[in-house]
Amino acid sequence: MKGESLKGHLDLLILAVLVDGARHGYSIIDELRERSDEAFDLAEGTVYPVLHRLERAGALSSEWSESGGRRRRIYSVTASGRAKLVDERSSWEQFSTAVSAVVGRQPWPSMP
Amino acid sequence: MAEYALIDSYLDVVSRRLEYRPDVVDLRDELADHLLESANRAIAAGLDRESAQRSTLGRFGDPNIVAGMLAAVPTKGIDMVHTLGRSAGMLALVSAALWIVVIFAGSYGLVDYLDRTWSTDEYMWQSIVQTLAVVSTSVTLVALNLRHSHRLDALTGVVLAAAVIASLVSFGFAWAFLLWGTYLAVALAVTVARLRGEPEVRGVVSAALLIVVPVLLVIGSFFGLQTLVSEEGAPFTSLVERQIDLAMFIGTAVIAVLLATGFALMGLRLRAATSVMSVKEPAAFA
Repeated sequence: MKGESLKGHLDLLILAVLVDGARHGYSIIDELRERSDEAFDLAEGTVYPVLHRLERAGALSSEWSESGGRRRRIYSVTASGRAKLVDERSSWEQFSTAVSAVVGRQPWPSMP
Repeated sequence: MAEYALIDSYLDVVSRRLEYRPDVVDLRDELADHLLESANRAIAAGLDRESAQRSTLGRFGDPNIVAGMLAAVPTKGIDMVHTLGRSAGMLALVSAALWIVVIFAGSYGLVDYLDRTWSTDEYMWQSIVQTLAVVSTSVTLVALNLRHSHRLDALTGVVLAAAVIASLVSFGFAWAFLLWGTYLAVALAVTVARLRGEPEVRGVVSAALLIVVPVLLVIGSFFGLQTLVSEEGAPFTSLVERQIDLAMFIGTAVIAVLLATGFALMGLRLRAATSVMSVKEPAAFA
């Protein structure tokens, strides 16, 4: 799945990954790839602006640590981020159910 | 990090696009951590160092797009500082254009003055144009300081105060160099002196804006003061008055030419620094 299809859902996906525990950027992308069974193929650099935007909005917080002599920024979900995740999840489920209902309907000749 | 030259070049491109931000080091460190982690994993999986870097950078995306997206998310609490700092190049060009208008307005005014057809309306228009140029120059100087310091520090405060006084006084008394010239000279000299190490402010720009223009503005101010004091003692004859007016016309034109040249060069360099630098063979990263 290319980045364009994921664009509108990155907030939800990132929050869903981080709600299970704090992670740094590379690890978030790695987890997204793994959980989607390699289906999510987005330009990795585009995840950072989303992380920064979510942090600025108060949904994430970050702190610096060190790993292998490099500075590493670790993100975690805030209380407001958890609330946002609940909202986004609920919207996604409604959307997903509605889309499935439309595209999953059998064509006319085979309808009961 | 010489062994990761491609990643280094990529980070240089992104950093230069974001150099005006106070958190540019954090942004670079965060991206560096990701890119090195990814390249090291690719090397561990059997790729050679160069292929690992190319593959990593290819997956990360075009540096211009990444930098542009990062720039679109402002750092908390410094939006105004960012916006002004980022606009310094454009503001410098606007100031240069306004000083060019001042030169033309002054030339027409001078011709009419010599023909003795110079009217109050013409004086008003010339004053308005000159005031606009002073205000635009003041905003540009403050923006240049914010771009340099990334915050409203003491020197930026001095420049801001001098620039505001120069603009306000010029609005009311455009004809009186004495009242606004010295303040503009201070704002100009402080700004260019603190920026003179930067590539955009060197050579002709530095010489014109740091030395020649402030000196001329101060000379103009003292010349104005001298004439006021002399006139108090004994009113000038019309011939002397005319010579003083001519000196003011010519002085303003010379200062306007220097300001237009200095700001035009600086503006073009600043614009080039924020746009051209990024087109550093993106294909090399793919």
